[in-house]
Amino acid sequence: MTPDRLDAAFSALADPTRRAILARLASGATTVNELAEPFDLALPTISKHLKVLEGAGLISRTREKQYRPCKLELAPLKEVSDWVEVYRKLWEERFERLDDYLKQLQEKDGDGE
Amino acid sequence: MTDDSKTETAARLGIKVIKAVRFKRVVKAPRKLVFDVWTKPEHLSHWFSPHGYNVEGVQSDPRPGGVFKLIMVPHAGGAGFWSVGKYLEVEAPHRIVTRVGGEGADGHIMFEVINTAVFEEQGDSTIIYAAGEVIALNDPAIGEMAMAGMDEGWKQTLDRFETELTRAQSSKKRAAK
Repeated sequence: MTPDRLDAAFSALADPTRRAILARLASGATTVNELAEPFDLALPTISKHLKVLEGAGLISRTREKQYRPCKLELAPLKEVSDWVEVYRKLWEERFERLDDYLKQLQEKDGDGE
Repeated sequence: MTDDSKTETAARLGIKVIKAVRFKRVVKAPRKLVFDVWTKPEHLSHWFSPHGYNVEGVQSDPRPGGVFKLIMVPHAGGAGFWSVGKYLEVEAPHRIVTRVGGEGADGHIMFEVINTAVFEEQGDSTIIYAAGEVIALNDPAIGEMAMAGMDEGWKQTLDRFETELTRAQSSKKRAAK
């Protein structure tokens, strides 16, 4: 995935409606009308969200059929979550070291327990 | 105020967040000490890197606009990774905000984050609310972003870390009871 593409994926995921759309698509491909149902949004608004998701490569839409079902694309999601997980783990390790270091400091000062 | 909202700095500053990771940790140490360890160069060098890395060349001037800069150097040798930025907000001893860029060996900025830490006293412990809000992401190379080489050794370290974390967390939970 190119940097622009990953950035687009992150931006697309920043919106709660779009995340909800993806969550719904996780249980299978569906049409725009079906997608719009649970949301209190006009079809053009849903279409706008779908365009963003499609631009980010997170969903695909069949061209040939008139009702153009939407399908979830898993690869970009995987890459996004990989990066975030790595970043999260960096901080988890820092916290672990911080914890150890605070213990050391307080033992040394003799004011720990 | 929810836990998350304590560290939602970027939104307040009108900066778009690409992705945020938020943490809540309780450490058995007085808040003043936690604040010092979080900001003083002689302390930062002891913890501000993942396992397998040394922190070197720490510059930290905890005042708004003050510099925050250090390099994480792998024990195994090879290029280090810079964290370069500045303090945006400092309210001793309870709140610190930095804006930091992660730079690769050749000096290009891989990503930019706003780091927020809020410290609250809880008896003789301190609750740390921390967040890394990613505001720019310029390089999808997961390996590179993962601080130096997401090589096999680093991956194994992460695996071990996960195991240790689970163990440490369960023993911490027990200790908290």
